[in-house]
Amino acid sequence: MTWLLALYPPRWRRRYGDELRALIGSQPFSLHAVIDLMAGAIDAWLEPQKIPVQSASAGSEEGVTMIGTMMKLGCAGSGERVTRQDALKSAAVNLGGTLLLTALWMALHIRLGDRTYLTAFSAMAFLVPYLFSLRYTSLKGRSLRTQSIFIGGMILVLALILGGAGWVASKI
Amino acid sequence: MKKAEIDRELDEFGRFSEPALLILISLADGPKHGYAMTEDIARIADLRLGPGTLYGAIARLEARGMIEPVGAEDRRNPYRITAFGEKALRARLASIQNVARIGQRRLASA
Repeated sequence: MTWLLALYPPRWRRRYGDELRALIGSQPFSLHAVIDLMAGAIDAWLEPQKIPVQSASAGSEEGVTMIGTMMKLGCAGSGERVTRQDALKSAAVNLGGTLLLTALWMALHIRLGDRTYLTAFSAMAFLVPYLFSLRYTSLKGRSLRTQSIFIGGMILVLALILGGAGWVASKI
Repeated sequence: MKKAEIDRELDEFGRFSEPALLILISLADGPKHGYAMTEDIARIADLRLGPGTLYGAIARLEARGMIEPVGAEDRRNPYRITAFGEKALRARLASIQNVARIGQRRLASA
């Protein structure tokens, strides 16, 4: 999973890269960790921190109010608990979205017939709802901007991969 | 900052990010590196923070002077809570305790 660090801003990587690499190395591979690192990278680009080069001086309160400081921590990333209600919402989005997109795909298939690109994009019928369902699980607590960039970006990447697969299939 | 001032400001305070709060609690009993924090938070709060979430919160806490690196012995750089971080944690915990006390009192009289 350490290759995901390449997604972080260079300054952030220089300061925390080694530590994060050591942490990732001590944990087993999990899809949740991959999504968390990708969303963390989006956050790091969107909300660049004043990365300390040396140790921060303790207790520097000058001009900083307690409420102001704490409010700024509100965007410290996810870590929200996934409640039973969240799990149900996620399942509903997954199931409902898959049924809807599969019905749409079938309608297109009936109307247009057996098309290579249409077949290639059939996987989107369950991948797209899965990505949206992450809003209630792995992406819960992230800002709407981070969620939108993650989901939109992944849909774009999937579209390129499946489009590429369709193009290859059409040439065979 | 005076306690009354902190209390007044905390009255208006909305959400204190849970990961940041948990990191401060984890560091309250001594310095820890990322992995030790993750394990400690999983034990005390039954919540396993992802690596991206943990370091997102660490970066913000460090930038605001609430935690600081102890000095790297190896790649796993341990962190400790600063005096300012301890003050912020105490204020926040007192606020949570106050809300919990009111809630329990209301439940008891219901």
